[in-house]
Amino acid sequence: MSCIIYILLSLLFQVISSQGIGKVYIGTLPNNTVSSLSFNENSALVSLVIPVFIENKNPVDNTDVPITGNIVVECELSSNGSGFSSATIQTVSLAQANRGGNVQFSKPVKGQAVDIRCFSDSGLQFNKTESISSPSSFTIISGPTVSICPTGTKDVVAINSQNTQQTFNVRLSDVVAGSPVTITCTGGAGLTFLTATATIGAREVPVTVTLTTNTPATGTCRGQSQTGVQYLFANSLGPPVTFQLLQPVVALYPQSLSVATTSFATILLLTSSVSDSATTFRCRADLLALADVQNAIQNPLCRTATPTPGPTAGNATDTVTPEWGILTPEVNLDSSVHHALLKATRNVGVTTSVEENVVVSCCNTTGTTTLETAIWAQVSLTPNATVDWEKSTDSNNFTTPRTIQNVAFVEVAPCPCDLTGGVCDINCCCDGDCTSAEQETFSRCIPYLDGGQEAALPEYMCDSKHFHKEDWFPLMCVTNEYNSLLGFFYQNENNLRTTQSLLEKVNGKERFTYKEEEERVEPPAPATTKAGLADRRGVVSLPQRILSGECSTTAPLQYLRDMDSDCSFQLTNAMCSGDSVFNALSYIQSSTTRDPSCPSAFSIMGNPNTQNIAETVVNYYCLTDATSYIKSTTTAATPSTRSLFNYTYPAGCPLDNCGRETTSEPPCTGYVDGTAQETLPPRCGFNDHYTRPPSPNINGATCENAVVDVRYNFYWSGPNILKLNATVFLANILLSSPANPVVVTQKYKASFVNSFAGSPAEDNFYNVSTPFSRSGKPGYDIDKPMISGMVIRNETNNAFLYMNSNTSRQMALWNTGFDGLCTNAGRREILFGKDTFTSCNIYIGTSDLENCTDLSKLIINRLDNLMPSERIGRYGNNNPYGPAQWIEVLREDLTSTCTNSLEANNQTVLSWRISGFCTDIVSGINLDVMYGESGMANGVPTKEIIGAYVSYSKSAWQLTCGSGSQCADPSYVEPFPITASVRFIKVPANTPEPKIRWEEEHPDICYRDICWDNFMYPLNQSSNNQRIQNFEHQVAQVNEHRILILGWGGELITDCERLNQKFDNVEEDP
Amino acid sequence: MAVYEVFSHPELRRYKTHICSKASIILIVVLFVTVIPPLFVVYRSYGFWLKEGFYEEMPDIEFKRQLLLVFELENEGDFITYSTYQRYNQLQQQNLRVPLIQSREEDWNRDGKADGLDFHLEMPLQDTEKVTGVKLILIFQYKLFRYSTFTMECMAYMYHDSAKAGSKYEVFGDLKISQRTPLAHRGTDTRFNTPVVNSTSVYAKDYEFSKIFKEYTARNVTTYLQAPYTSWITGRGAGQPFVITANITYPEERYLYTTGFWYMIKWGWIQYVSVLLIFLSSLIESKCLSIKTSLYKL
Repeated sequence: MSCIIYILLSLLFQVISSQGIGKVYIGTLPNNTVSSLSFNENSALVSLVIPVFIENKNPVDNTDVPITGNIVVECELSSNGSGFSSATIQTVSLAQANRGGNVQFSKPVKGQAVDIRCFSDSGLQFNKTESISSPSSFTIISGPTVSICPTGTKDVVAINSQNTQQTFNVRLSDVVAGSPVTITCTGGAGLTFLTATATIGAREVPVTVTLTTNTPATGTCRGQSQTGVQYLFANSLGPPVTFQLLQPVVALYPQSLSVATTSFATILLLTSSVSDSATTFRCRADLLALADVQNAIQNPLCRTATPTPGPTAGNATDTVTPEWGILTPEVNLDSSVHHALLKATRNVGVTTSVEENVVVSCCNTTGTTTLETAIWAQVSLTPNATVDWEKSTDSNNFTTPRTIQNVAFVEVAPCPCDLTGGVCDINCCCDGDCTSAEQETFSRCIPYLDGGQEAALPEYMCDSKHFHKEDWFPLMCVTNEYNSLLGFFYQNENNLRTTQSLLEKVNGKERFTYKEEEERVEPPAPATTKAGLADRRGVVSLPQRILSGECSTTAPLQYLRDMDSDCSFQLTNAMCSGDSVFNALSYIQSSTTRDPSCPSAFSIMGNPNTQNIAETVVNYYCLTDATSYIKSTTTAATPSTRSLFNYTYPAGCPLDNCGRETTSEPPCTGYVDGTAQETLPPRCGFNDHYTRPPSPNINGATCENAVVDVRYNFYWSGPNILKLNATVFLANILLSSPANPVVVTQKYKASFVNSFAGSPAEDNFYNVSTPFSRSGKPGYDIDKPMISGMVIRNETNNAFLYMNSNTSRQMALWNTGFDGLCTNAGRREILFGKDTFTSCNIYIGTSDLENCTDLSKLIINRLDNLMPSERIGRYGNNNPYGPAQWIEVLREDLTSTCTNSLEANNQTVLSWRISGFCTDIVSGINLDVMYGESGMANGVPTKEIIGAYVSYSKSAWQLTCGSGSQCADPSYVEPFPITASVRFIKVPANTPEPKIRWEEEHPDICYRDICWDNFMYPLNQSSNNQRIQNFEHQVAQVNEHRILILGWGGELITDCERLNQKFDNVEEDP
Repeated sequence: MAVYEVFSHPELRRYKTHICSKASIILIVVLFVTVIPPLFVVYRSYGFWLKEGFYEEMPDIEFKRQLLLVFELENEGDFITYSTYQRYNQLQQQNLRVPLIQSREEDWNRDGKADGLDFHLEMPLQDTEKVTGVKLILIFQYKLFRYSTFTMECMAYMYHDSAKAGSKYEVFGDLKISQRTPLAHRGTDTRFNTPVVNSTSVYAKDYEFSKIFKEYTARNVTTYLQAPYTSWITGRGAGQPFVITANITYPEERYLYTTGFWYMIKWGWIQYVSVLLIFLSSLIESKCLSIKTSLYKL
């Protein structure tokens, strides 16, 4: 029977070999396969072909076998949907005579690259599964577009004057090639465009436009290649732009004033000129009551007031308001003169303190449009309150210093409070300028002799009453005696009039001033790039935390410094529009973006010195559910139902006495290796790498297309950025309102991935080509993950095969959430050197506690699942195939606890157990890791794990019902903690020699300063200090010896070693 | 008949012997016994070498007119900030608001060194902006001259958070020194003269408070603002700015320093000689006696 089958099979094989197996390839004959195909959307129909060829080979000896009949070749695309390249693909018929051909396709639709595979399913020789080609990428590149690029205001082209021709710029997304392009613009009523032509090589074309109406109109442009298909009318249309007449605006500056003088100046400014002729403005200054001010600003008084006769020079003559006037109330502004100075003065002085509100207003008296503006000046005037130098009769020449005579002989200031020459100073009774009438109004005279304040008594005077008197105080004190001495005077200091004298004064002492000294960071000058001259350069930035958690939205990214941050914002209406962080346009855009062609997006420079542009690919994903990015406003209730672990014993699996699974075969293992792969939300429809992402827009109470997550992946090699892959998540989010505040947490991530091209590291045990992380080399680094795992053995001879170090097989701790429940708790990895204590809660009731043994077994099962490892890696990176690099984990024997062998005969314990009082419940697991410093690598001690022991904590559990009746309720539950902890113990690598306790504990202390080492302390002080420091690290001691021997050379060597150490500690190299 | 002293004169009696003689040995032994034991006595009775000492000095402190300020506002993610560091301000953009800053350092006792700082800051705010927290770093320059010429840049940090929106925050305190290692007794000491805020950086990370504080506290000599009495005043009126006032006194301080070689020798010598005198007086007699005895026995 078997013989027959064999014959049949060999026959069948013979048939197949004689017929051969047919394969389809994308490419051209004789054997040029093509891995990527790209076509332009506008390409002529004849060029829309996919080259294919077929081969038929004998699978045994790989020789060609003739193809029989006609073979129909079809092609299929890997994915479809909006945003992906697509086309209607036809078929082609090939035969032995013409093995190569072209598959034609029509209706190309632009989009992202997709995979294309070609196959044939005709005849005996070809079938789909065998003949299908390896995938090639298939891209339909978007056709170029033509956009209007307004300067200044976004999306608005300003027209200077009606019915006058004017040009604006149109940007083409691609440089014109092959034939000139005719640019045709169309617009609404009142807009007339002239057709323009873009010559070969051009990217920007001026187009002439005339606006005949006074109202704004929208217009768009498109282009058509004169011959050829580079630009097509059908798909080169840019976004519409508004054309509107420029409105001149007039304003007075400053816009609000607070003055204390009887005259002030403002500037009248015409922000954009009225082209036809000069505009005449008439200005007024009015004194108004406070209540009328607002009205006067909104409706300037100059509008209604009749024009007054022309002013006479040098005199404020506005007769309407006698108090205040403008010196030159009529000004002409035109295109050459944009501004004029207006001086408002009070025509009469004040006699009492007054607060006045003066409104300065200006209106045009010529021209068609109404131009008017007004400002409010708050004037507070008090007679003689401030020193008015202009009123002083002694006002002298300010350019030459006045010489003051020697004050020792001449009374220069007979009245110190007389500050103003020629004017009566208030309350200065000795001022000769005051009339007796003025003196009567004084509230008091300024006290002390001649109106000045008395100086404080110096401490050395015998009359001094100061506190800290010397012991011999009256002995050495000074007493004054009045005699003919006129006194001591300060030297008269001339005021500084030259820069030189100023510098001499301040020279010599460091003085600080309020100033921002650092220069602003200016990116290097714009450079020529592939796409033409770059307008601007900047730095790549993402929002980052700064200060104490606040967010800086434009913080630069640092090269090769990974960044992971998030910021919380209230999504207000203002945040959902404009250039906020929720706008996708605030982030990087694909370098292939061309719809619309302007404004052009930023590109990443591959290297700041060479002007290479790194390719940028941005993928947009539209979240359907953004709840993970929105701060929850609900509070979870305390658990009130029974909750143990997220685990049930798999059916039919053998268990040992302590409730552990005895086999490691699935499904009895209980180890679940979670897939860490994150599922991405659905792609956005516009995501074809050519279309610009939409800005967020408000739709009712929802903000649409708001950015919630941004991830930049930079691929680098040496000093170059090769590529940027970015991912942006968009979502529709409810807008924040006072009643329902919505706080959105935006997440940002930037990572730098090395495109490594060197030889792999020798400790690349897993033979990976991607960067991998070590926990240190060779010993552990503090705060790096501790590596552990389970031994995989040969089933037959039980020999060591390799270590399984998957996450589920590693030692772990509880990672509890806000609810603290064990059932929701995850696994937290153990970091080397960090003593950690974690715990989670189980909620159990009477029914569980009446069955202590089962409860205990379940807990042991879960705790052992949390810390399942049989071995722990000794070093920072261990060979999984080398058993010598893993040390055994010792485990406490729980057999007696599990089998109740101790309590089996104890009647009391048994009776407790029945009544819901559990003794010796295993409620925690503790891992003790011993590590030592074994030797030195590159001058740094090697931290090696030399032993580990797992022990269990036991507790006695009983419900502590708040009121007695609760315990009777079978559904009543209470929380009990399950703990997991790790402790790192440093032990000497070698057993040390016994020492007396004092020396052992404090080898560095000279007890009571009387040790003999310190006997000659002043002489050997430095070497003593050095020795004490060296106790910290034996390393340093080694270095010290070298320095002693080699002097400077030794120190240099140690520095070099430290440098090497730094390099060796670089974590990521494959 | 009374006897009286008519005349007296000292008598110098010379004892001579060979070097290799019993008297020489006795002399050496006696000398040894006289000179060495006092050294042991003073050394073993603690405090022979005065390795550290204290001195008091009025530090020369000057406010460097540098500050970093942040106002926390009520809404999530809202804040206002300002610093005198241009690069920091460039990072902040729309959250930057320039306050009015006034400061004055007064020298009350006219010793040429400032005794305190009067600081006043007004931050203009919209009426809708409610300040719930204030954090402010002021940067000072700290100089000592008495022993080593010590210079460092240091800071005062003041902060307050309140559930109630405030209008004014007032701080009254001292700028105290915190010293972990002794200063030197001579020379120029600029070990700690490093900038508190790395203002040349353009990266957000360098302006995180956690990084600033971590690097600052890693220094062995720092200052801190001791201001237990601060007042947070609520009820900001319409159109009013938020005001911070700080009255910071620069107190005279006590500094630990390592003493110099000659200082240690001087005090060691004083201790040694005072004990040596006792030994000398008691053993000088025995020397006389024993040498005489040994010689006469020859």
